[in-house]
Amino acid sequence: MNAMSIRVDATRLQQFQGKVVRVMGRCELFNTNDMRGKLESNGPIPIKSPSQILEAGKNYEIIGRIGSGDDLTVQVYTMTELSDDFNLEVAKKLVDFVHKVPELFYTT
Amino acid sequence: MDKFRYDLDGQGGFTGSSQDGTSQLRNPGTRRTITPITIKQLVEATQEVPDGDFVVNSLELNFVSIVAVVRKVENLNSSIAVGVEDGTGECEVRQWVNEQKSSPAEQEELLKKHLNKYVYIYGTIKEFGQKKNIQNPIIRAVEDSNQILYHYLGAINCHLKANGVFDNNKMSLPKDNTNNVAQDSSLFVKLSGGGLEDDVFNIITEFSPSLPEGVPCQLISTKLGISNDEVVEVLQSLMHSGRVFNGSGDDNYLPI
Repeated sequence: MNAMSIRVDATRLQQFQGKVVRVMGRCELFNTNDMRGKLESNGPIPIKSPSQILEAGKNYEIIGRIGSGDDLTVQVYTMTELSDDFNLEVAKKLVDFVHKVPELFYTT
Repeated sequence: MDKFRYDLDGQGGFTGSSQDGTSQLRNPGTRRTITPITIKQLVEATQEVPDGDFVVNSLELNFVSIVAVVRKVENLNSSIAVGVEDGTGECEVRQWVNEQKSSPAEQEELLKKHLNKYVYIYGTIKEFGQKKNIQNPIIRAVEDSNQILYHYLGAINCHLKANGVFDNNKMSLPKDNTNNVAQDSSLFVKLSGGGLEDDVFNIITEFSPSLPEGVPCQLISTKLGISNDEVVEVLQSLMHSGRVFNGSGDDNYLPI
């Protein structure tokens, strides 16, 4: 796996479409029939996880590729479960700051 | 920057003097503080002089910590290679096997439990074969995922301070540098907060340079003249808001 994945939330999907990203958020729903769901991360993010099942109500960090054009669904490559008390407000803050100091996090 | 100085933590001996002719002692706190960084910073760090400190974007690095996901564990018999990535880059750290304590296979099994999970790694930064690495790494599982957030916010904090961008008093970026989504440029989420939280935070900030393993709860309690339980309650709130994190143990705290 390419080690570079940019931290984003729902507000930055458009900006990084087509890129491999890292999203921390809470799974709002996940349908095991079509393996699609929604992750809440400063807004809803549509996800498709063909190989791993996410559980609604739990927090996850996913790594995946954002679609492009009208479909900004994130195709999940891998995920890590986060602890239940994970602070989504601080996570939102972190994403804001990551993009203010990209020299620490990614190459533009 | 003065490239020659008396090395307090090394083998001793003078290597030069500062430009104004007076010997300049390095602040021991600099070398004893664990600096949170990203793997990208680790990879991009350079040494100004052989055996000197590594520097990346004006930030001096010696003891460093990274928070990353374990992607590979490989038994090399005398050591276990652990491949990690944090989204900013990837690196491999090697944990040497102490055969008096455990066999390579046992240690490999222990480390394999961390596969695809976040770990906190700290140690000294070294270069070998033109690759930067963390020497004698201590690897611990991240059990509270908020530690991931605190680590990166800490890394940003150190970077901004080293570059003089950060306003130490306001703990925020100057307004002209906020060109993106954030409406509030403070590094911290505003929760209830208040006087006691600030008092506890100030004590942790004051004592952390001399207590790199973390400021013990007991010391805070003594300094403020309040009970240990009250301090623990405030510390939990500070941890929740991302202002402090656990040092070497559950009872020690370090500021971000």
